[in-house]
Amino acid sequence: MAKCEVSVYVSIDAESRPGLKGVPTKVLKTGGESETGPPGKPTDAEGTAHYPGLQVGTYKVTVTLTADQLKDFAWPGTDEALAEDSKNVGALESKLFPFVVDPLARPKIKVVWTATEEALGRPREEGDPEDGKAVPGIHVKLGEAINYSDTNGEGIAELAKDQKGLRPGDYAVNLTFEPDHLELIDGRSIPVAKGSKEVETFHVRPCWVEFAVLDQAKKAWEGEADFVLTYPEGKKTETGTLTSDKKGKLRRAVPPGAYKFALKLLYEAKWTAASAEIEKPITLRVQATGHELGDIEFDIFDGCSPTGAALETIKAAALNGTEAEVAWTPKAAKLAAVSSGTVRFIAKAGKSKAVSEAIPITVERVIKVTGTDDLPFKVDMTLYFGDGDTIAVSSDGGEAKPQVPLGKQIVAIELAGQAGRIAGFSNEVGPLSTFFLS
Amino acid sequence: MKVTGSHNKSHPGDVTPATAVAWSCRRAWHGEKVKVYLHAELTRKDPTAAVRICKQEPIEDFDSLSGIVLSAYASGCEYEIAWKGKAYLKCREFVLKAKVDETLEADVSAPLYVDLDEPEFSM
Repeated sequence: MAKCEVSVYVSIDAESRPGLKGVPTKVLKTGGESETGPPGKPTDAEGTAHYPGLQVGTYKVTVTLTADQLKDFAWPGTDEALAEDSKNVGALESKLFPFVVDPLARPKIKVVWTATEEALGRPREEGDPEDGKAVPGIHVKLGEAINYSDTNGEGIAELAKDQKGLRPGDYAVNLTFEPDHLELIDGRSIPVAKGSKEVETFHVRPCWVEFAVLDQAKKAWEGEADFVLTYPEGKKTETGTLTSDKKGKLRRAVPPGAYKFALKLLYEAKWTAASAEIEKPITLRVQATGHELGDIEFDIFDGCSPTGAALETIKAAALNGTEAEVAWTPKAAKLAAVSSGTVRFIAKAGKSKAVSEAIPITVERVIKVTGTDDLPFKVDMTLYFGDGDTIAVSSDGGEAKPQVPLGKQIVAIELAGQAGRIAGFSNEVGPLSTFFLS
Repeated sequence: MKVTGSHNKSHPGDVTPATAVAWSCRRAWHGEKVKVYLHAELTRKDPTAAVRICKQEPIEDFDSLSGIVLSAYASGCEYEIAWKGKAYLKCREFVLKAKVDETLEADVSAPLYVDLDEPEFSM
């Protein structure tokens, strides 16, 4: 009886079409009541498996990639492990059943530094040793689902050995940084060719942000203050002290984004009027940065004695931008200790404070002047105070209402052109005195 | 000082240090002790401070408080009006001038009236 032969050849779809060793094959004679065939065998080193001495007939050949082989190879258009083909094989015929597998790609991702002057903190040199240096520890993913190993000491990340290779196509490369102060310069998709084992290189650079505080001469500020650094979208804030040895500079390795930097300062404490009057509201104002409204207070002092316990303390009522303010109504009772006729305030918040200038504060005094006949007496007067200050007033209708510096004592009253007359003086607390005018 | 800026850049921010000087009273007798207050904001920590006492109109150097750092003025730096032998002539009002850290100048203070004459009493 004439015999025939079936040969199976499994090759890889690559340039030299090499055979694939160790692929299990099976040959079954079809067309009868049952499919029968010789024991299956794997392909040899050439990628072939020969089945000689078969009966003439129709044969179905099945080729099944092993689990290991499926990591690196795939049948075109399917992820199935099995491929099959059927052919008639005639007498004395040796028929070849070729199968071609696609090699899957295992591209590597390499991550290296790009040295920038800013990142180095020094001029970049020709062939800078920092340039192109491998960056280990970067998490790599292709698309959202294909996990790579983290970059190793050589900056290389690759598919895990037990992970299936990639079919050809474009793949988005996602790099995640820990620490997060790195920035990918050349983020992109990579084209992956059939069976590729190319190394795709990506460049990252460290991210930083710097704030440099300068004084009015544009020189580095040597002061000291607490600061608040707010990260992008307010996700995080860092607080600390910018000490004088930092020469006004705060530099941080940070993730990319927009940052807000504020020194916790109070400055330019100012009254909104040149003088204050008892019972009349006046606004106290200070420039405030880095502070919350609730932290800001204003201490009121005698203008000549801005230390010790405050005469009164009031909280800021509004903070518009950098301007904090409060309206204050001076009360004689709270300012009884004022002796200079002036007040000043110290704005304070945490370690910051700002001192205002002293402004005069006055209280209205009513001085009634009557003649010996008890009738209102009009006279021009000069009021003399203990510290030498003077005020000129006139008692129109027998009454003068001078604004007298708070806390100052009237030590003398000079009357113009009233020699030889007698006048009585009284104020709101009673008669002052009766004088014979000489 | 408040600055906003993006990463990989250096962002400058300005502060304006300031200082002010004042007497503790408006009038004093010769021989009395008065206080000098010197305030500074946004300066470096505890800088040197030089305070000069000047005759007013025209402003002319008269005496000084030297070698004292700023913090010494926080609760008032005591000064005794002991001017025997000093040529104050007819001047009775004295102002303060101050310089912090050798560059930052305060505005001239309000004057202190000093009673340098023997009091006269009428009988």
